Amino acid sequence: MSTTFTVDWLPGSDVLRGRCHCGATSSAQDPATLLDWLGAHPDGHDTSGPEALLAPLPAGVAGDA
Amino acid sequence: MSSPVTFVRNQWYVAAYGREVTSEVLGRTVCGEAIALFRTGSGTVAALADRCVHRRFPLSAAPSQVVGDTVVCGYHGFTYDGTGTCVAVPGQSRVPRTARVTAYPVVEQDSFVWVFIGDPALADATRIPRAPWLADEAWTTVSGMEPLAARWGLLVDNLLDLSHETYLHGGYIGTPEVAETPITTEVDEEARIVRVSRHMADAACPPFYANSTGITGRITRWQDIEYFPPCLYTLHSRVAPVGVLPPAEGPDDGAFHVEVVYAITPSTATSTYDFWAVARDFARDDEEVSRFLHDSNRTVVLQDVTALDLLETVVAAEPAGTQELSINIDTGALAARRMIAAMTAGMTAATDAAVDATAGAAAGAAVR
Ligand code: FES
Ligand SMILES: [Fe+2]
Ligand SMILES: [Zn+2]
Repeated sequence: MSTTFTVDWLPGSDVLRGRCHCGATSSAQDPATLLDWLGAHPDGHDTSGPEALLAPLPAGVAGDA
Repeated sequence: MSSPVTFVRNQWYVAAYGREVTSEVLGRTVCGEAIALFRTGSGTVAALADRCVHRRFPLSAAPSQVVGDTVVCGYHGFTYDGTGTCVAVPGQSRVPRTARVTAYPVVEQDSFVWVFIGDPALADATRIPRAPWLADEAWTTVSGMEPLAARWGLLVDNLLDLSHETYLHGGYIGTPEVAETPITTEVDEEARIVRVSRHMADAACPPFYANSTGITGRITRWQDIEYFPPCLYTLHSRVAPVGVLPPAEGPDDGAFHVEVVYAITPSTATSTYDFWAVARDFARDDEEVSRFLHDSNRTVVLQDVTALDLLETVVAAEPAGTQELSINIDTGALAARRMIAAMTAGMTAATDAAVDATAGAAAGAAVR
């Protein structure tokens, strides 16, 4: 099984989007918060529902762009 | 005082370039361990603890010398073979059975001499990360090493976040687009690789590439980092006239490729060997280009050395856990710090979440 996770910096925004090897995704504007979440797999990783939002994003930024 | 510096043990480290290891003994300190490196008469590299078992004289210090496949201590003549066994002592025929110095597992590969720091039983040469371009005839390489009066983690931070090129190396390798362009970070916890990519579609061409490739206009510039903690860092750099992308298949002939390799070798807690190499697949026989790339990259490395030596004096004077502030550009460096913390704890975060609970208090401050 893959053990690779990725963090994409969504172009044109300040938002970082993390994707765990389990398929769960989450967004944050702070790399430490996102890496904490990715490193905590499987805690808080839900691949069925909408993606977790780890910190409030500014108005007009979609969490699941 | 500042956070304690830790070394990751049971890992391979670059101790020297192969060309540096000759029949003159070379002394290097790796992860706090003093090592004497020499090439035996039969051509193989030996790496021994740099302290004679007799009265502790360094085997790398004159007048110690290599004789055939052995090194003779310059103080009273204890003579060691490449395995560290003492084969002769002065004045008597019986060599004490305990007369031996530690021999380090050593592998010569990709122009480097790698030594294993830790339990020799765990030394698996197949786990040494590769930098094949440096010893490949299809590439032309320039290289060097600059000593750093700074802890090794500062060089990891530096190399994992290339946005600093725009500010610290402006006019050499930095242009505004480097700091402006978002990065993608990929962490393979099992293979222990951190990848950071920055693809600039339309960027100014810095002198480093303009003068070596001859491109006069704007460029498409890709930086793809692969870091194999703790020691090996590779940057796959692709430079092409703006808009020129790799073809769907076949060789990427329209672009210039440069493989920039660093070996980050901790020496003492507050000093580091900064090995650097630049390999290219163009103008391969042009010695002027070689000289230019050598001098330019060395200048850039020395700009980092100046900055990191200064930074070391700052962090050394600050209390442990002094707050930093991380932003998006730091994602790769933070991921690397976390992987290193997990390796230091002897396991990857992926295989045992308990590492956070047990080492968290200590590592938590360091990895943010
Ligand atoms: S210290 Fe080496 S022979 Fe005496
Ligand atoms: Fe730099
Ligand atoms: Zn997960």
